[in-house]
Amino acid sequence: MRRYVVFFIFCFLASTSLYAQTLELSGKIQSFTDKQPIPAANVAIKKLVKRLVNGDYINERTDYRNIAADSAGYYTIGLPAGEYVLEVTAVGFSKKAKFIELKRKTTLDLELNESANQLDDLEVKARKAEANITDVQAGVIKLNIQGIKKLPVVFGEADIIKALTLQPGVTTVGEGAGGFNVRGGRVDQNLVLLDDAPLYNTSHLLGFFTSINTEAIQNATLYKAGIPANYGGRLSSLFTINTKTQTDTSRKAVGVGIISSNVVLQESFGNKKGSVMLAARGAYPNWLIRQFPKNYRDSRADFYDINAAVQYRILPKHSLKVSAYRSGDNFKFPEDSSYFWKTQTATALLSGILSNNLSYNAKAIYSNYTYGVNGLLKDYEFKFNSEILDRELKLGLVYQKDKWNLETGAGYIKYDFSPGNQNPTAEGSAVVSRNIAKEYARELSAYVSSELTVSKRFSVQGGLRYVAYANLGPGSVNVYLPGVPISKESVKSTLTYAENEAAFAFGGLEPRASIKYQFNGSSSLKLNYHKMRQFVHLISNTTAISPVDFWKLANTYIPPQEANQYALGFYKNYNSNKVQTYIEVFYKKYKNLVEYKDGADLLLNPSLETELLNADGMAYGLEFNAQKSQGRFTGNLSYTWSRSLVRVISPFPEEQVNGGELFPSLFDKPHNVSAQGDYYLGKGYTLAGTFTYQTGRPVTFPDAQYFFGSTTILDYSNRNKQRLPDFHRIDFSISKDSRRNKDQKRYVITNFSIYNLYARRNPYSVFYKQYLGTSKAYRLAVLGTVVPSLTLTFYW
Amino acid sequence: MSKRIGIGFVCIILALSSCLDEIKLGQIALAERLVIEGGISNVENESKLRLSYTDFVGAPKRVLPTSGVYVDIQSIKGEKIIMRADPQGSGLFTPQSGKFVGKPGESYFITVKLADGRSYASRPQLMSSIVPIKSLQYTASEKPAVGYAITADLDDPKETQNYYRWKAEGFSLRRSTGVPVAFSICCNICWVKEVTEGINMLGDLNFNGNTIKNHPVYFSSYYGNSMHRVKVKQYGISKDAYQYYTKLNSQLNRSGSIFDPLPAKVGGNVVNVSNIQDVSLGFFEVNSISTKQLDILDDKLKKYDLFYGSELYVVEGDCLLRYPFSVYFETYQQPLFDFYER
Repeated sequence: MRRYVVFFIFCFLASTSLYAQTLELSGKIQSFTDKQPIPAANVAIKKLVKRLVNGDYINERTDYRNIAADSAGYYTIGLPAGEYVLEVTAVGFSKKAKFIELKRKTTLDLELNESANQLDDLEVKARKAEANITDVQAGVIKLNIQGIKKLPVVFGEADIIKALTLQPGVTTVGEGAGGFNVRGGRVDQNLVLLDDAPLYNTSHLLGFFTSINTEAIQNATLYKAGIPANYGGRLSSLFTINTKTQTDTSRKAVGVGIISSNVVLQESFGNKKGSVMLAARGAYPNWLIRQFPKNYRDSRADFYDINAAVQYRILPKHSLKVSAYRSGDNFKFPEDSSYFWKTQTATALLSGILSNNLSYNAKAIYSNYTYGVNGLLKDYEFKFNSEILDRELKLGLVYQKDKWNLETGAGYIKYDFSPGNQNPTAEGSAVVSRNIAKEYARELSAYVSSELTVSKRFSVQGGLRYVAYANLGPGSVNVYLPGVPISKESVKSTLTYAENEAAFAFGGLEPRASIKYQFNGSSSLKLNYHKMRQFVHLISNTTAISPVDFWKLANTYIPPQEANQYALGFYKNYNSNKVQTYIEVFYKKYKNLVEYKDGADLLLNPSLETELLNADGMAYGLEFNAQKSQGRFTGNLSYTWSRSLVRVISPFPEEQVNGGELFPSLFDKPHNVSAQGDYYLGKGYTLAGTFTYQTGRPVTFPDAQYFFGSTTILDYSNRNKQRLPDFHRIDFSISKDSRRNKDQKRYVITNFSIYNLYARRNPYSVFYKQYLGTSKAYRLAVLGTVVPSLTLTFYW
Repeated sequence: MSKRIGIGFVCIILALSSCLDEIKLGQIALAERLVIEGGISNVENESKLRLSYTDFVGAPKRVLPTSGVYVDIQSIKGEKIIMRADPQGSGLFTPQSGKFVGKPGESYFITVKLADGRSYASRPQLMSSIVPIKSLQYTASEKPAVGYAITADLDDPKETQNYYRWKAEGFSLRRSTGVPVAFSICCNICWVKEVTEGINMLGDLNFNGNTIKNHPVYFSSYYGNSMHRVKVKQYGISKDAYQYYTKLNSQLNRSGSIFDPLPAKVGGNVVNVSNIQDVSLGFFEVNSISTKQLDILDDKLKKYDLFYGSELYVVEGDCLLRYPFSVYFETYQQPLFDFYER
């Protein structure tokens, strides 16, 4: 560890001494229309060289350097004095060139116009037109939020996670299920960060909707591979979501849908040095619930979410952003019990430029997730609640020189988990108090990463992250008898740990590496490897994540999950980058996954490890994607062939699943095709459609039945050996943008969608009910009919 | 909790569209597995077992009984009870020595030897101490169904972990038009017996040492003005049995929702002694039973006399024939629970 720290310090000292001869050029890239920063805009710096041509001197532009703006749209570079042309490009914006004669330290802000003939661009794009070829990173999907609003939606809610699932390698276990699966990974293996604060539940209304208001989002990026070294803690993906902050503009929007509405207010202040954003969304699904069958129409549900963000440039090169988020859900059954879950996050981000080539960011992060149940039955009134408290500090430094950069930093996370408390809530309630001991842990990490452009064709990016984790007291750990399966009956002794004493500790390196070889301006080959570890586990023994699932910290019996992923991709663009394609293969190997004993008793279990099994697994596959990102018609076609397999590891035959062999995970869907397209009709009208096809997910069918009392019982010998019928669906939408020009402030976007156009009853599951003593099989479709919806969003 | 969420989820789906389709599944041929049902108790004539084999999924309602099987039950103190097979070949076994009564506080295990030589045994199961039913009470219910909801109170002992299961049966009068016999009408009023279905159980983990109040044990549907007589049996079951029934219940309540527990085999407590992966299905129970009876004489639902729901509820024909578990009111003015043991 000490060697890495010394290495980091050396790198910084070396970097700061190299740039005394250069002049700093910095600034911000933002949209002309809404003054929002354009993250990752490409700034190509061309040096002007005088050349004698046919007896005349002309200024010729020669490639000098390429840099990318950061997530807040800022760029900075050190250049020798001279004449330059800055060519700035970004997806969805027209290219802009600006001449500059650099004589002194200069700040140059640039505004880009949105692309012609369409007011907004398509839903999902790479970072810049040729970025998929030139970037060393692979497997990165950047969602365009404006485009998502044109996609067909269900119940009128534009949804970033549903948009993600149209991308290769991203699936869900089924319609209506919360979360998403990336390259065969589980839902809890995605690190979802809202302004860098981790979200432990991304669902509203039992999973029908994503808990993040699309109107409040500035950008969202999914990393399936090449996860930057400054991030860790989940095996399969990183999904970063940043809320809107903008200066120089005032904007208000109100969206009205069939079961929810939202409002967004944005305003600048302090002579345009700062901006504030407030977004709120509330749902009113109860009118729909009243149409339920008689016994359920007294059920109630509601949800809300609020985003707030303030950004202020406290010094010319230093800005502070503070954002907060709160979401809540309630679901009540008649006279029985009500469920609630709530997320609160807050982030303070200080970022700025320290010298010509050195910038920094410092973050303080708070995330709190609570869920619970209120028991309302007379004489049995109780409240159950579980809570996660996650507090983080992060510091990052970025050093950038001509053809290489260096990033380094460190992070600290303090976890306080309260797995569950149950207490009576009324006088005379028969329910007794049951409290599971709180869990504490800390995670320390440090990283260094660098990208080097070795030649015009060849680039490498390497990163190394070291993470040290400790599960801390106060607490106790059972010691179990050797040679028998662990169970409550096989407890040999119990070890107790004092406050802050490590009951379990782990440390390890997580290398990341990417190599790019560019054949020419339109094709490249990329190789990628990363190792990830995960110290928090979602404990869920249901098909999809549910509101009563809970998280568990890694400990002696539930070791950190681990994954190694290898990916190789070939990228090829056609027609001046208007059509972008890639084909990528990946192989991922997992260790220390959590599996469950049959009928595991999970809630309020102080010896949870007795119900869990250790598993390993693998995922591999091939992804193909073709995207047309310019013109009246834009679209995306993708095909994924992949497998996701898991194996329970146990020396005891009675604990093994499927005889200890690999078996398909619940979301193993080998063939996955998705197509989406939109066509701009003119006068603000856009037609959009999506098609999805997936192999049916694995299910477990019974292989025997017997009578027990008067009941037929089904017996299941093997897990996930059968499959549901294949899934396919077409959605369609037409949207109207009332703007006549890009600068129009007051306008309305209307979206009419039809979900499941041909009313296919895509089966979600198969289950059995008895009829006259015989078991009959039924299949359930979650949204087995046409679902039309209308959403109006007013902007001013 | 997942079950409740699952039901809510399904009702949302049902409200949106009719999304349930019946499907036919192909048969999967597997070796027959042993199924054990029943056990012993502290009450005379309440110790019996049935041994059978598994069938294919979707088979008609039938039991595939075993034959040539030896069964005995032993206490850990050495007492052995040989079980005698029903000569009719129904797969039922009862104590050979006649009237066996188990002792609370004693542990018992079963040994089964099949005709093909396979031998099975269970872990010892503790017969728990008897916890009496403190009281039974009823409330008249008009929604969602008309009838009397019967609940039980009991004082849970604090010193021990206790696990309970309830079964109940009840009588009420039902009318029919009857059939002409000589110059009269015969069999137009019958006592009809109904029994509880499903698995009703409770562990005291959440209630240890408290009075468990108003635990629902039976619902006596109201078809007409009559006395309702209910008998509730409270079984003190072992911890293993409680865990077994918990798993079984979660599987029986699967509704296809995304919050369903994953399908899982529910292995019993009787295992092949030479192959621990060969676990029998069903469960060998060792129960302590307490019983209480309740008569509901004060008819608080008279306004529903002869009406069930919104329709007149008088069936056509001979009530003895229309209701399989019935006796004629003219013959027996009071219902007796052992009518069908006679």
